[in-house]
Amino acid sequence: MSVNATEAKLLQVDTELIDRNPDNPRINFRQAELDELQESIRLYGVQVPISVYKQDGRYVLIDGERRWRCCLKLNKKKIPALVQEKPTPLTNLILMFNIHSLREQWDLLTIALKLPKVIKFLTEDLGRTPNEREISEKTGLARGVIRRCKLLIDLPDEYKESIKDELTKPRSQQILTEDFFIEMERALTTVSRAMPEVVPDRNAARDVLIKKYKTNVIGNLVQLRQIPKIARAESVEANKAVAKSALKKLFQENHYTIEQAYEDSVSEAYSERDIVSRAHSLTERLARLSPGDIDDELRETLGELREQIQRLSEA
Amino acid sequence: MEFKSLAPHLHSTAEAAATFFKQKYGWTGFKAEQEITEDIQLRPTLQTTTRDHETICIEVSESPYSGTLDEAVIACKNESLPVKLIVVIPKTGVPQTGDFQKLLGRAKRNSVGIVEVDNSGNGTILSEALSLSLSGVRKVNPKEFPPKYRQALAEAESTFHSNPAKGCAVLYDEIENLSRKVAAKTQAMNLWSTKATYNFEKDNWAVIMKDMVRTFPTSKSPAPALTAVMIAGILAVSAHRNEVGHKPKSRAQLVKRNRELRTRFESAIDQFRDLVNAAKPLKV
Repeated sequence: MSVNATEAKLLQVDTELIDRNPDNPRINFRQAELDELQESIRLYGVQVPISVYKQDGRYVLIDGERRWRCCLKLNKKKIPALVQEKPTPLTNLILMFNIHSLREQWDLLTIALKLPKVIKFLTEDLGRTPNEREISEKTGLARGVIRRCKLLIDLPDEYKESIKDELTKPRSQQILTEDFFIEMERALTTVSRAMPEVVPDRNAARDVLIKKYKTNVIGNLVQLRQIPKIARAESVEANKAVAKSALKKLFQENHYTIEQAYEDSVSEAYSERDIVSRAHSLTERLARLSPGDIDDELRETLGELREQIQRLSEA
Repeated sequence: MEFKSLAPHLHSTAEAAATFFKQKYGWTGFKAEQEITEDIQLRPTLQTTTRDHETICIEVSESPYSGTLDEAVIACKNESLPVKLIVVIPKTGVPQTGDFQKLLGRAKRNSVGIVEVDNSGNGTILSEALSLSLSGVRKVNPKEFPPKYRQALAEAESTFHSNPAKGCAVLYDEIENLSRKVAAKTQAMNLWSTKATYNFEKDNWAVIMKDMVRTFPTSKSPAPALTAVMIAGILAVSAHRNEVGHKPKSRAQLVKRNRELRTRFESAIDQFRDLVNAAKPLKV
């Protein structure tokens, strides 16, 4: 499954004889980035050759689609290219994953949309479904990235389209980012598992969260991480019915925020769990100390702590 | 249409642009990403040729101007190519920032048109495109002329960009009017060596000028800058008065005609300025 790069030849290839690689996972070329590269090529030429393989008297791109597009735009007749031998379909795809994911940051959706094809080819190659580690080894993608991709793959098409639209914008102008959808999906998956009756229609819940995010009712992505905490109310012995009610209200069109839902349902329980956890940790540490180990400042602080503990114990 | 270099999210804008220009100007037969000439470093998104042999280049982009366009504009001007370059940007409905306004100004200064188009093919023209073969013409400096001529000059200049022959004609009219007045005044002042009986407002202009070259100026003239050579130059202008209406039959003829008209326009401006200055002592 390897390509012998040492046998590649560096040639000046006619730009008109080159075709884009249909397996290039990259679907989005931001205009501003293309313009920048175009200007560089106009002024300094193509400094790094593209990679192609020959097929039926023409050339198919392996690497360098943006450089090639810019050359076409600039009416350049030739482009320096490393002409390699034709790879197998799996090698072709994996080559591009490796070339791009190691060298430049692709949009996650770009990777996500091609991942099923990689899995299909790998399944054929291995005779079984590849596991996450194998996919990671072949593609050069971290396992966390593969998991994030899977969340995007499972989105209904309409949401994938809206991410695609968003990705055409400069990063600074993107609102409904891939990260937003990933955080939202994680939250909804947890809610669906813990309290399925709260999300009878996942798309409706998505639409509400999207609207709330767009209108700043949800102020930032981190707030979405509080939703699974509400759904796991039972794990902190909070009232499940109250948590359900808060989530139901959250998934309706209103100005009810995640922070309010959290406050109304599980805030105290998590706070209590936090105190218990810290108290355990503190008790363990104090048990390891002898009276000679502590100075006046610590003695004074421990005195204040004893007073608070007594106050609460006597209540 | 198949686009190779245009970013995919702009394909619909390109299609909508073709619809807009067909409806607005009747331009059809657009081809995608073709070269203008072998040497110009730009393949515009869309390109077509009008019945008047003018090349229309539509560049679809999110930005109204870029360095790549600069080079293409200069090349078209230098080669006197009859090209109109229009940048089409997608209509976003979002107010444009200061940078956008700066780029818009740059496009205007370079005679590049800017049109905003939505996906239904509805467009708003933000800036009109001028033929690049003509836009390289030297700009008229109004301060070199007395106020009474400035409006006519501005009209001639703006007409020149849309219809160069007519622009020249407007300028020739001004030269003719002033030279007729100069002829009448100098004749009345007995500065010609012979007595002429012309109707200076109506008789053949070329005939009057020929006669004036032959019999004027005399050493008594209060306008010494008004020389026979200058009047002969004005006489030369009259030779082009009847050529301006002919339509070029091919692109090559259009290139040739535009080159000639550009030169004539610039030289007529110089002649007019010299005539105005030379005739000042006559107070016509």
